Amino acid sequence: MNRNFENIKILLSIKRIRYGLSILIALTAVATLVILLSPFKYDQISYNVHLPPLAPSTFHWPHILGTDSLGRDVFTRISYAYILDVSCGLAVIALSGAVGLVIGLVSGYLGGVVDGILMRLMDILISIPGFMLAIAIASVFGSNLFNAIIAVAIVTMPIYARLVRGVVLSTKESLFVLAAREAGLGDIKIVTKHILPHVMPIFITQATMELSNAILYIATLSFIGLGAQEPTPEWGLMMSVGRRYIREAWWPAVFPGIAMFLTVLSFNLIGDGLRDYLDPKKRLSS
Amino acid sequence: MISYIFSRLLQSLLSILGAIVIIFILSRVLPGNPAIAILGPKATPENIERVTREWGLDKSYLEQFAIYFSRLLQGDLGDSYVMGHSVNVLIRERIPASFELVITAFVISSALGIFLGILAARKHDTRLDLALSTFSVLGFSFPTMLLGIALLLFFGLNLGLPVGGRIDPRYHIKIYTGFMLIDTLLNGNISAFIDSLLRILPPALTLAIPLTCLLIRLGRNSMLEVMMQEFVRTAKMKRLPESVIMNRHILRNALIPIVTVMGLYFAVIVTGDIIVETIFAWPGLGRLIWEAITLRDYMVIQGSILVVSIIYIAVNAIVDTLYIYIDPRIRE
Repeated sequence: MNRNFENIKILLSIKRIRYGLSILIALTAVATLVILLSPFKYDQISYNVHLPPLAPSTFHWPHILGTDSLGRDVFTRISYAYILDVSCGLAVIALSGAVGLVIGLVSGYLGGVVDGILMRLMDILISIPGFMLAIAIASVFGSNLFNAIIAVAIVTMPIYARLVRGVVLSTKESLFVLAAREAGLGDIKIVTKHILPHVMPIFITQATMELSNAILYIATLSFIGLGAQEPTPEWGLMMSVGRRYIREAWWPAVFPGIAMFLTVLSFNLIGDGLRDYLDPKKRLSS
Repeated sequence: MISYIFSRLLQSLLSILGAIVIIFILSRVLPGNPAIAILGPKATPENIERVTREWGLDKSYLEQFAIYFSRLLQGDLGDSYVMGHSVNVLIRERIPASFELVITAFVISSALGIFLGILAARKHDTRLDLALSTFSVLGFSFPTMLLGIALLLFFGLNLGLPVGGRIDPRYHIKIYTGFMLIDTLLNGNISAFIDSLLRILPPALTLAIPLTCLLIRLGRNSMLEVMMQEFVRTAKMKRLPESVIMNRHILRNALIPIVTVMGLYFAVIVTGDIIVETIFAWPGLGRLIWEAITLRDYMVIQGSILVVSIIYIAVNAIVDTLYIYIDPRIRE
């Protein structure tokens, strides 16, 4: 317990992690408050089309970020979208991370033919640019958020598999693993008790960095029409719809983008900080 | 050297084969008739029968793949029933516009990114370095969609410049190269050249800024790493001129890791390209993919993705070969 506390203190001493966490906490607080307190519903259509930011409404609460082309409150929609987009990002890394982790562990630990086959499969997946493959998958299975998540998860999975395999290969021959094997431990025990702890820090760092990528991928798929569909509050979709009326009103397109930027920035900062923390060379210099 | 290039070429061919197999499997994986996916909204009974015959959809998967593959070998990507053209023609029409945009963005970002990266490294731990680092962290997290919309608003509404498309349709430009910037000059039409230059600038910048940020960061870190090396210290002790140390010793070594990730940049550009071409109505391959998605034209999506993948694999192979040219140490 005490050691955990120490570790958290060290992590918080890294500037980037502190900044990233602050942004993240602020965003979450704002989104939660808006969802709980806002008098508007995210899909509530009205005649007040394209009201500018801070325009008064019939409630005690103004349209802080204005209304969109269907008269819906932009701030309320952005807040719901925050929860939705971050959840989608988490779903993507949970899926791709879990599958990639297992493939990496199996491939690295067993080696030989299994390793050869699994890694060639990963090579094939990587040979197509990730986003193109996601488009191909999502367009075959149909445009909705669930398929977009699956598509992005498939595309990003090889990153984890390769990374984990690399770490397994470098720890597999170390003395403590050989000792555990001599002591008669089973393969599954060796992998979970002795190898996995070495994989986890690097894995979690990568997953944090990939979280922002996953959010961007999902939003981009929605932007080009392959993810969320109306009236789902989703940043990419909101920007895509807002873009059509950009000459009349810039706010329905710009504000979701800013929310997305802050979210992505916070995860990138945390990921960067974690990487620096893991890299002893950098830790000393900073 | 030769054997390396040969094995790299073989690897690329295998990758291309892999891409073809994936795209084939994707087009056949759905339960139900693939002919309907190929035809999209144009699926009439006659059309379905025609497509089934054309692609051998009533035969075994192996035979279907043989038909698909042999058509690809002849360079035939099939026909788009939705857009009423062969996919080859559609893609060939759009490729020059995308190349022009991507190359322009690439030139801007390499020049700016490497220059600023070197600047940050030479002035490391100063305010300028901090400012550049902050800019690169912020810029890299900036979503392309937002950047595109912001630049569209800025150039179009604030500055009142022409945005959208490659050139004003009232100019009649005879096409020689397909690159509007060059063709307008070859036509001797200066005002058309300026128009096309103004129109390419916002989308090219949208693509270039995230890459520039990536390059600043990478360039700075790799420069700093090389500057700490012993051979640089030796060169300094030999009292070689500063410029010789910079150009011969530091820059050349610092560029190696940058070149290795050029392939990665290409993947970033490809993703950004679809968004940028959609926002700025740029008539390139990315816009074609977006149009095909909107029209549910699976043949065009599939063909475009295959073409982009092959270009991507080729670029990566070239980068790898370039890499051994730059770094003589790994030639053995």
